[in-house]
Amino acid sequence: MNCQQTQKLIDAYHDGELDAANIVQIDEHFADCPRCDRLSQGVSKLSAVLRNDALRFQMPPALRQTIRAAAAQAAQTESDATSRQPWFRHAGWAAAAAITVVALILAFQIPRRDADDRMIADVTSSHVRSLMANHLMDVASTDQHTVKPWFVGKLDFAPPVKDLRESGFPLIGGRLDFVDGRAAAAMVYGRQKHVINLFVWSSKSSQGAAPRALEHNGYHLVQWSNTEMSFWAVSDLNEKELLEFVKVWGAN
Amino acid sequence: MDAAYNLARWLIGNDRDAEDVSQEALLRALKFFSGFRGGDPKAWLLTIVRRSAWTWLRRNRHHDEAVEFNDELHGGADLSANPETALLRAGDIETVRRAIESLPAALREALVLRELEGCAYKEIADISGVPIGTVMSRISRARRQLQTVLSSPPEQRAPL
Repeated sequence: MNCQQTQKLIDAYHDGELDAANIVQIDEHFADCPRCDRLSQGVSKLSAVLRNDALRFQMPPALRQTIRAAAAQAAQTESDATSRQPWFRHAGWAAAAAITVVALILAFQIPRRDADDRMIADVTSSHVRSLMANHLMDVASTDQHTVKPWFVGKLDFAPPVKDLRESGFPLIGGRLDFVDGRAAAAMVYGRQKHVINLFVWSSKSSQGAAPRALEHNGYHLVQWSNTEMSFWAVSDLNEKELLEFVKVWGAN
Repeated sequence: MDAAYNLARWLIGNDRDAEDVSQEALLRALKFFSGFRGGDPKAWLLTIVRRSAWTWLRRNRHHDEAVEFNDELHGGADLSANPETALLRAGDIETVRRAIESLPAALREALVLRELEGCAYKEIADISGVPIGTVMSRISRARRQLQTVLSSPPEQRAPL
């Protein structure tokens, strides 16, 4: 790839919107061309400046109030309307039943998958659950020296806790979770409006495994391990940014 | 909801009109919620508020911006950045804010959705109703323009 082609794609590259083939070609070009490499760093620098919550406009409280009230009223009207129409009355129950059926189907499929698939599904659902159940954190702190001691006494291993604020992945907090039937430390990191859950549990092995990227139900996962622990990072971030997170975190 | 207000405020450029436009659009969205056929509710709200904001832009003083942004016409511009723009002056937040405000509305919209809301190109394409290639080139142009503005010394900056 030449300079012109690279510069045309440099923003898409930066935003994680390119396919693997183009990424490889651009990386190769950066290695040979300090000029383009500097341009790329310029884009990252600009993004770092722009990804600042202070640049977002906050909705005025009065407007928020108005919309909330209107939403509550709309919900009320809708439920009145459905209760007047008997064929809609049980729509809620029908939906709940449908969800149960889907959940059961999924549950029975799991034993048929191999262990790896089950782990991927389990880690992903822990991630989703933590977001849905509003149970992201047991200890909310951006200070690694608060989060790390919190895990002591709750786990039989000491998970490494790092704050990566300077690289654009601030630590938000920590939580105790269960993955595949064992206790795991879950560390929560932010990236703009996205959340990354990093699950760590004790698993002894003679050799570690290098990070590998996976995908499940639209979520991206990166898994790696050292001789003591197994690591899983999960997020709705794109794969490139998640791999960047894993890199700055310092995976082997 | 916050994302919808943020987008409207960035497009419209002042608090009062942004409030009016987003209130009207959000109330309408609530009323027609039954028209929502699945998909991402955030993108749906953003699409509605964006449409209202553009209608307001067309109707009001921004006649220069009201002309639908011509990507073809602006597409000929030099996209290759000067390496010196890598020396970005972060400056204070107000400088950055004014630099974003100086962008044409179409570029501002793509940039705000990408950098402040963290939207993927595909989502931006759906919200703005343009092809994904157009989103890519708008984001490129917005960034090059910002880099140029933010890397020139303050005294050479055009008054904003």
